[in-house]
Amino acid sequence: MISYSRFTLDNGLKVIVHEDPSTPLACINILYDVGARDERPDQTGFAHLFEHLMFGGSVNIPSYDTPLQEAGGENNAFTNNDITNYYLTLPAQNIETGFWLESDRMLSLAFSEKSLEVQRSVVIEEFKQRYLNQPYGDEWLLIRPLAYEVHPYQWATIGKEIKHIEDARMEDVRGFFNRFYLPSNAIMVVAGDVKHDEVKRLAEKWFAPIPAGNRPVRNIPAEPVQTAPRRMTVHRDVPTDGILKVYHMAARMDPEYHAQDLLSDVLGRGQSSRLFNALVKDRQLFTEVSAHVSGSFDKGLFVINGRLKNGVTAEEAEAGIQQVIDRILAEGIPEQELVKVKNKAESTHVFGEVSVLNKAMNLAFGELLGDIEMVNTEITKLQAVSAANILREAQQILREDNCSTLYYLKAQ
Amino acid sequence: MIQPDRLTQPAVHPIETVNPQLPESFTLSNGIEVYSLSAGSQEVLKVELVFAAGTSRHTNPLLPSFTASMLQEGTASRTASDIASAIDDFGAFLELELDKDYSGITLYSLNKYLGQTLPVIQDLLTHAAFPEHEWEILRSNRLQKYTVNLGKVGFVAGKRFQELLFAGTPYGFAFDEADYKALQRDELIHFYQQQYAPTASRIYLSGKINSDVREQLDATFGHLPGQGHFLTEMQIGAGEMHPERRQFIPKDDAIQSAIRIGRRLFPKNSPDYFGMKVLSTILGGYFGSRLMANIREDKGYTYGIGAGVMAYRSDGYFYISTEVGSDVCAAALEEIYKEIRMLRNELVADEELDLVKNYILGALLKSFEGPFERMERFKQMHLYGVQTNYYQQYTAAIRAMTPEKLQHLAQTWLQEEDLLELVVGKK
Repeated sequence: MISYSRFTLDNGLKVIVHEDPSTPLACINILYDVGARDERPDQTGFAHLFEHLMFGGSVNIPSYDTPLQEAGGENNAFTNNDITNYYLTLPAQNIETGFWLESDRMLSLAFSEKSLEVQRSVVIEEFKQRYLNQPYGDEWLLIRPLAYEVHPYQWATIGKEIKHIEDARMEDVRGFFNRFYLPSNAIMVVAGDVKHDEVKRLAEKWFAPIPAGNRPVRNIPAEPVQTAPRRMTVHRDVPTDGILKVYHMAARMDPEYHAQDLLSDVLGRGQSSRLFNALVKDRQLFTEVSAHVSGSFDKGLFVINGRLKNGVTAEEAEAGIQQVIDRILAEGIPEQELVKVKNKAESTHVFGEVSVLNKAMNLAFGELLGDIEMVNTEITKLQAVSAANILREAQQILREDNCSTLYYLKAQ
Repeated sequence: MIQPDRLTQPAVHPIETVNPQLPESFTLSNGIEVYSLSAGSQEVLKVELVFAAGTSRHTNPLLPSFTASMLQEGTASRTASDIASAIDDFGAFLELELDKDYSGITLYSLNKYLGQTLPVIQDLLTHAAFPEHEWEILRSNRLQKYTVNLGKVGFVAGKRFQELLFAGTPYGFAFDEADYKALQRDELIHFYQQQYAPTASRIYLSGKINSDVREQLDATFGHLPGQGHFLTEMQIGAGEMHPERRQFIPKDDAIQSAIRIGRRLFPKNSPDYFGMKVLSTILGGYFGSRLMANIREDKGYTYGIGAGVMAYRSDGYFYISTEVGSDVCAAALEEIYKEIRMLRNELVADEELDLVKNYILGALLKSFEGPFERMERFKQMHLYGVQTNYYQQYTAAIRAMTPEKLQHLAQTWLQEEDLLELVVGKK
């Protein structure tokens, strides 16, 4: 069980404290409620580019990293379609440096032209390194717009295309900051060798003077229900073929989410999974195949992904996947298999609590999703899923009419 | 409302010297050494059986690799699927690890299920069957993945760099597609019998260790037979450094080129080891390093560039590693050599050195969080020929480091003509 305390500053910043004296460290995790889904369709990749710019100096502090390193600290950040998350760790006695740095860049960035120019290039290199210069690197850039015709999940966090990043201007950057980087749009978790009262004092000292701003109202169009199968085939310079199938599923906080999550484990998590045993071992149609759920805040995707064995056609391989699904629809899941995936989920949860930073992030996500107690109740919810629930979800979502399929084939 | 002084950094307090918790040790009935470190409040355990069966132990480095992987593909009484289920049913995780010196069978288990999961590991260790069917599938699938990896400049560069750097020594054994095909199942079995005798292992235990775990370990592993004891050091030799220090592997359509620069150095117990760790951190071991500040943050040539010092049991090396836009590859190389030259020709400023010292000390502190990390640090000493006051010595060396010492190290070890350069992609 993770214990914590909470308070909110007058400017709307939510602060959560988790005391853990077993570590000599303290960490600060600041979650901003902005992700790729909040971008304009002609200005994508922005939330992620902006994450980079947050390290380019703030209004009073020209370098973010240097003073942090001076204090013996480390930091990183990540962006996805829903959130932008910043985190740092420091020896606990130097935690005030963290408050100083994070509050200043929440107050205002330095907005230097040089920083924008450099980070544009860095992000473009990231685009190339991860999505263009790797085999299968662009498969998600292709399948997202197929699966999501209306919802902003149709573009990836890195952006639809390099050009959007190239065209980013300083006015756009300022506007983005003013709109989303507000205390009322952020959650801060302080965890480790800290005390509630001291955290409160530091939060009041450094963050309370920041103006609240107007928390943006999200108005994202819902994705219309898919009613027919969608398919795409591409040829790329890869030595073997790949298949990607994505099905529409629940949002992270929908009641069906847990059953769908466990379904993905039964189907495709690890070497005891259905897909692995049927298609890699028994029938040798794939060299690797797995399933997982996207876990996104809005309605997400149930993903089956695999690389075909040489000599197997995409149609044969896809038929193999369908047979595994059909067997579950026909027979359901035996109790032992359900126990297995629940044990695995519980184990993952417990091992996750070994790291203070991990606990801090989970507290932040829970708070943002509107249920901070979920850090402690998720396991109970997973335990309550029945085999009948899982079968129902399989029938509900694993249908071709709900599916987008990508054949990613080697060049002719 | 009182505005805080945002222009001044709050006071920075000195970072304490890390004082690592060391494991207890005991031996099982058959002499297997066990090292046990209990910490944390989560009811979890990690059991690692380590063998001197890494890729340097055979001229075809695929052989140790496949032997390790095949352990979970079937025993006399369990199929691969049975093994996977036996582990997953109890929410456990099984990992088969391998590096140049060592291989490891690692079990992560909730304490409450250790009684069910530990016997599975014993079975793998003593009755691995290397079934034909699984062997052919594994070989074929790995070969296919290798073919895909050949399309990645980073993968090709990393592999070739090791082969060139350590050519003519066991750390530089090379392999290619033909070696996948040439492997025989009999060879794996032979290697397994030679290298995986139970008494030739060491066991590292970490997590929240309850009083009955020692008994459970002895019951499971303590009566297994075997000749042999845990191997440590081996002779490496001078090797054959390639006469052409600048190597290039073209890839016509590469939009990024991979760069690897480096040289052989020494193992961990060398007098210059700590100094080179500090020097390589300044050069490229943290986000504010010379290379990151220049090549990423100033020029935007790359998403990431790093430098460091690595040690194997019997040797080590210095490296610089990056993927850069292929149109700026030549420019990036020039900047890298410029940064190395500066370390040779100019003293590091006191302010920069102080910052790096604090950074390293903070990172060291962070690397001891929780039982698994603490055991990992211990293994880094125990398996690599250094004493258990290693981290205290390292801290003292860091605090005592001076710009003069660093410049001397750079002049000794970072001369251009001693550095191997490998580019994969377009120049």
